[in-house]
Amino acid sequence: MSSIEKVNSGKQRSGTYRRDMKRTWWTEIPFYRWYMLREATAIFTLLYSINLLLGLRALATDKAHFLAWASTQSHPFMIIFAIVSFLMVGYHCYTWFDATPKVMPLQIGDKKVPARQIILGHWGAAIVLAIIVLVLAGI
Amino acid sequence: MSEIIIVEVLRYRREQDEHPVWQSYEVPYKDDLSILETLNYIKDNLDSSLSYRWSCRMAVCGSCGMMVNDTPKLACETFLRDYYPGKVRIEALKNFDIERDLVVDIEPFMEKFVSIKPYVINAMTGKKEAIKANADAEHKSTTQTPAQLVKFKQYTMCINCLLCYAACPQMGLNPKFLGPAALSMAQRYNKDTRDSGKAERIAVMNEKDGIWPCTFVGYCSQVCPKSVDPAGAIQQAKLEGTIAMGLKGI
Repeated sequence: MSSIEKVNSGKQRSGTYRRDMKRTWWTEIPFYRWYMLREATAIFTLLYSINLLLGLRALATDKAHFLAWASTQSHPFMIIFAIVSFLMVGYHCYTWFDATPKVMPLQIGDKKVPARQIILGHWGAAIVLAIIVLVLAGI
Repeated sequence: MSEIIIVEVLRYRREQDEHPVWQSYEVPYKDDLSILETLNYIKDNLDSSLSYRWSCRMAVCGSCGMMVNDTPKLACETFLRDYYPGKVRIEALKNFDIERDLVVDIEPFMEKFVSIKPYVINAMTGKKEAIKANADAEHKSTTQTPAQLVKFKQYTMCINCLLCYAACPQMGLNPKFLGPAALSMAQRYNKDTRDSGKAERIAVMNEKDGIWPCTFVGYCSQVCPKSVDPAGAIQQAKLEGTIAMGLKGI
C-alpha cells in the first residue's frame, strides 16, 4: 500500500451524503465546455497531421502520387476540413500560450515577469515564424 | 414594503432527509447584503435549524465556501445584488460529502493535506549540536532573499477554503486525487529555500493519485479567491515529477 493510500481511501464516511457526478458534468458550465473543446482540438491536430504525412509519403514515392494527393486537397470536403482544423489549432495555440506563464513562470531579479508579456511574446514569435514559413513557401 | 429575494438552500438533515432537498426562503432584499449575512438572517429570523460554517466575514478564514448558483464562492464576499431580482440557489461545496446542510466533510482533505507534509522540513531540525558547532550554517538555513521568496509567495496565500476542490471535475471523478490546494501547498514548501523535504513530497506527489489525475482544466485557479493559481503549481510539479522519475530510472 502506498503512503497516500494509507490515509486517503476516498471512502465516504458514515452519516454523510455523497452527491454523484453526472456523466454530463462537462456540459454544465461554459468553463468546462471550453475545456472539452480544447481537448477536442487534439483530434483535428491528429487528423490533419495524418493528412500531411500521407502527402509526405506521396511526395517520397513519385510525382504522380504527390499530384494525386494534392488534387484531393482541393475537394470541398478537404477545404472545409482544412478550415476547421485551422480554427481548432488556432484555439489550441491560444490555450497553450495562455497556459505558458502558469507552467513556466519567468522571474527577473525579485520580480515576476507579468503573464501578459509572456503570452504576447509567444504570439509575436508565432506570427514571425508563420511569416517566415509563408515566405519560404513562396506564398 | 421592502423588496423580497428568493433564496433556495439545499438542506440535508440525516435524521429526516433520505436525500438532500431544496428549501426556499423569502429574504428582504438589501444591495449590501452578502450571502453569509443572508444565511445569518435566515438562521436568526426564519429557520434556526440551518447549518453552515463561517467565522471571519472577510475572506480570510476560508470557512464559508459554498456553491452559489452552481459556482464555488466564499459566502462572505458574494453579494445578493449580483443575482437580484433572480433567485439565489445555495448548495454545499461540490465534490465533498455533505455532513449537514451546507457543512461538508473536510476530513478526507485534511488527510491529503497532512500527507504532503505542509511544513518546513529542515535538515537542521533536531540537530542542535550540529547547529551549535556551526552558527553560520544555522544562519544560512533561515535567511531568505526577496528573489527566493517571490518563487512561492503566492502559494502561501491559500486559506484552505476548498473552492478549488469544488471546481475540479477530476476531484469528482476520483475522490482519491490529492487535489489543488494540497498540491499547491506542497509546491509552496518545495520551493522554499529553508526546506529540505522536497524529495519526500515528490514521492507522494508522483503516486497514482498525486499530481497525475490533473488534466489542467484550470477552473481551480479561476475560482480561487486568493489568486493562488493551484493549476499552475500542479503543472510545474508535473515537470519536476517527470524529472524525478527520469532520475530514478537512471
